[in-house]
Amino acid sequence: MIDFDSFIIDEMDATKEEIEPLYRIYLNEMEQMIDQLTSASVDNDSDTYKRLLHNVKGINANMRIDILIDPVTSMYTKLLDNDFLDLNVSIQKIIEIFSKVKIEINNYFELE
Amino acid sequence: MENQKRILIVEDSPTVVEHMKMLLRNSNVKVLNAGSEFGMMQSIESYGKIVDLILMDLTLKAENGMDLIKNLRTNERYNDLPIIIITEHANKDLILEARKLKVCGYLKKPIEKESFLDRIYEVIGNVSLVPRKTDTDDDVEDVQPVAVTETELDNIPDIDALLGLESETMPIEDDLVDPDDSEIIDKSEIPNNESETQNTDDSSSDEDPAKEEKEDELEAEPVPSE
Repeated sequence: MIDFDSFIIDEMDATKEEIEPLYRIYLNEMEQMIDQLTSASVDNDSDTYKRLLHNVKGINANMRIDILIDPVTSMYTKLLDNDFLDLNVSIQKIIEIFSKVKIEINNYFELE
Repeated sequence: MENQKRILIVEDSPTVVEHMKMLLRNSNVKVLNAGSEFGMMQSIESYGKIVDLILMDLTLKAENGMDLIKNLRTNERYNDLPIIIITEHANKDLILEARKLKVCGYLKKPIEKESFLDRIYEVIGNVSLVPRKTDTDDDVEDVQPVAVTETELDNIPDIDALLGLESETMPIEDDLVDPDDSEIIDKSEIPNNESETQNTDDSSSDEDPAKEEKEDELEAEPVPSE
């Protein structure tokens, strides 16, 4: 699912040990972002929601977590068109995908 | 370390900061971070006295990166401090505004190693311990500025295509943007004594992600036929 080798070896020219802190930081930041996204959706705070989604998109693009980029981009595009209909469904989808990403990263680095 | 360069990263995503630090880990560079959210200006002013380059993200949570640059440029001490902006969207207005603020280049997100190091290398010298490609390498193209009119500029969807660049980075050079912002011109047309464009108080460009996305949509529209 996640192409660790192409990012860690080809892009970063790093070892598994060297790159591990970056993934830890990514996981922490994503968890915080998802919490904030959930709060923003409860509060119907669309500006914060858009900003957070934009940041989530950027972070995952940076980390080459392709599996999350498409659903986040789709959500973001809908919000720009003021389409809030499936917001909660979309959040759940992102949470679900991120939980898989987290497991995969943890397995790769044998974290936790 | 002797001759060690210092770079200040102004970016509020810990992931992106760590990513950049990782990319610079084998280079002769000390990386400083301006922290996150509020109080960035104070950090920048403090670190600004000792750094050789600032990498400035334009889309910060609490502050606008371009406003931070404007504030910094009002202080004569930081008037010539090299700054590279980091953005997902580089449109004409942004480039022109950055040029006025004497920004020396931009990096596109997501950050990519080659373009990231090349851009920094161009600004503060050879920072990498890894052998760099030279102009004589077969796969390096010699990119020249292109002459484009204002009308053509408005109709071109991709600023990189406009400038003939395939790279994710672009130096904002004197020869690419003329001082009165009216057109992008060929280097050969500029007199040798072309004066520097000075800092202005223009505050028209907020880097609102939603606005950027809309601008991209506009830029992606087909070029109307005459």
